[in-house]
Amino acid sequence: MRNRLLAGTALIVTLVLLVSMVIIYQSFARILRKEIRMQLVESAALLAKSAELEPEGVVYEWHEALESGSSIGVPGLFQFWNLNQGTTLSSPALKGASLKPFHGELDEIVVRPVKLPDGRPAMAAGLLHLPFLDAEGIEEMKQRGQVLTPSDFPQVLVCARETESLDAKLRRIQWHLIRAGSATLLAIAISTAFIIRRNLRPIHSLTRRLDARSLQDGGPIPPTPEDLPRELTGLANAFNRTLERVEAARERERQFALHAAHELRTPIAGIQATLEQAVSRQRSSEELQTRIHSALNLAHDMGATIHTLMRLARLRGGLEMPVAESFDPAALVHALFQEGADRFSARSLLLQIEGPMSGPLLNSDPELLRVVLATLMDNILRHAPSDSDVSIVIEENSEGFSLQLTNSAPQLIHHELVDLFEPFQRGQQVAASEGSGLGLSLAREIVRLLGGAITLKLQHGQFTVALTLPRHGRHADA
Amino acid sequence: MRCLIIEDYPPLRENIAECLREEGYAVDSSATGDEGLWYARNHPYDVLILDIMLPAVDGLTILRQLRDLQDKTPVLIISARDSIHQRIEGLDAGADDYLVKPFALSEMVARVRALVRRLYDRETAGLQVADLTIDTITRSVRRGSTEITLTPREYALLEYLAYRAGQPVSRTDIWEHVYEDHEGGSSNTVDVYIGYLRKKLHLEGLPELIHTRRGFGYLLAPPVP
Repeated sequence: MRNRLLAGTALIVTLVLLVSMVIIYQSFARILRKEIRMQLVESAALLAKSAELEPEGVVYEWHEALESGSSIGVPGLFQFWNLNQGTTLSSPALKGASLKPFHGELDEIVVRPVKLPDGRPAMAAGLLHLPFLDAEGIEEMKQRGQVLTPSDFPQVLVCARETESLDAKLRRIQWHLIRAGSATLLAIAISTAFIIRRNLRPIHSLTRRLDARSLQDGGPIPPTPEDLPRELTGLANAFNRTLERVEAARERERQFALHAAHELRTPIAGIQATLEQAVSRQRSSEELQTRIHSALNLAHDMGATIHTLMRLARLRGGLEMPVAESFDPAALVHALFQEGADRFSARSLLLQIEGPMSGPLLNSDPELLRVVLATLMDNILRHAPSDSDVSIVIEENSEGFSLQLTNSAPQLIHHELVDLFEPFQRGQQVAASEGSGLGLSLAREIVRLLGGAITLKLQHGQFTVALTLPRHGRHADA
Repeated sequence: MRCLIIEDYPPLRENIAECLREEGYAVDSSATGDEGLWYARNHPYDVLILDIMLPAVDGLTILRQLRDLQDKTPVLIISARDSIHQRIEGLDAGADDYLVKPFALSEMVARVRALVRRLYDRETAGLQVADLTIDTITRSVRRGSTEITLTPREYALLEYLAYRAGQPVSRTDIWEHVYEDHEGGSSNTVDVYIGYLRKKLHLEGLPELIHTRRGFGYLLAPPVP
């Protein structure tokens, strides 16, 4: 970014300076050339007036003055051509050399670049004019009996001024402008680089801190530097917020992996210990069989935990999508809990189901809902105290289906509710052997996937799981 | 030697307990942190085997509370938490050793033996009192060159006396370090087993090694010349 800023700034400044210098130079050149042109026009006008028609012919006052030893009054290089007489008279500065005659219309001064006889460049004004004839001259001609007419004596006047010194002056101006422009460009480049560097310093500092942070495992996210340009503060804050969310998700995944490792390590340790004890000494075949059965049961439990973990991972990763099928959710609840009636009786749990035996059809995934219901039933069977009541309330309307399962949970503490949806979280009084701690996480993932909601409530020692499902759930084809 | 196991996963807890009993240890066990803490605070154990993730009170809290009470019982943590940070956290909380699950029971027993040796300031697995030699690994006992066969309880009693050789040991101490919490009986039981042990250790021409300290207990020591 710094190089692009620098290159961009340099390019723009160079262009601006170049255009400015060209304009300045052109202005200077125009003014100086105009000045010469005006001087030439003035000289031509002045010299034209020095040609006077007298009885003897055309007389040049400047020449008379020169001959009388006075100053010619008009400096420079000029030359007259008397077209009638075919004569020419040039200024002393020409030192006998001759200019090239040119002119426009009568009394129209034409200025053009020319080359002097010595080869130097010059500007020249050419003028076709008539000598002037004053009253005194006319009187004198009348006295002599011959009156001449100015139109019979057309004059061409060319006056020139070398421009070599002007070109040299312009070249000097050009050089000054280039030097000034280069110095300005350099100064601007240095200043821009300094300003860019100074402004990028907080970004570099932030980058360094983020780099250092990326090497650490966890730790606080570096705060937005106070000296960060205002324009970047919003971006940095947004980046920090995103990073925080990513870190939180990463931490959740880390915790998930840690818990998963723990949940698998412990049953592996149990299996290993059981088998190690089985072979640690001579045992009867019955005893060996009992121990192998124990290990097998542990392996089955571990397999179930892994299956649940895999399903949770598939659901979280979007690899498992629900299907859409019309079914009666109330009938499903009744059928499932009817199947588990013996298990409720075995634990002396009194189960009461309120609500319709059947109702409006739900367009959702019956298999996934069955997993949710089975999970919630297992939780009740595992954690509800013996000889307690379990109530299930089914409600259906045009919007969807809702279910409330309530059981006694005297050991559950209110603040534990928040964590119960997290994988591997059990109540503080619940041992590792009492379930994998994945059931409610799995239930929540599935219910979310079906477009519904699941909430937990604890009131007066009664634990309620409430779930709602929309009439038309999300599914793979949606 | 008496151990307490605090582990909430029954298959592991039960197998560890069985293994240690077979190795001659008296074992109490608990599935929850609060109950385990009660046991640890109310009984003198030679080793405490402690899980970290426990219901009610976690293992590190138990450990810190015991150390705050100046309880120096050697603690072996058994945990699935295997990162370096977690192991350091456990050891810094006051644990003497840390074993990551899953583990071999034989390794765990070896570590328990090492902790017991350290507790009684012994450097090797062999205990020697006069001509009596006890190998705590093979749990074999010799008097001179004669091997003596003992029951697990007799061995446990002798091993405890041997670890404290030269010190008078009260009946209560013996009871608390050799018998499990749920076992009934009285101090007479100790006297009965001391009687069994004396008979087995008494060999023709060799001096008595177990001495009675009337009104107090017993002393395992070489005979006074």
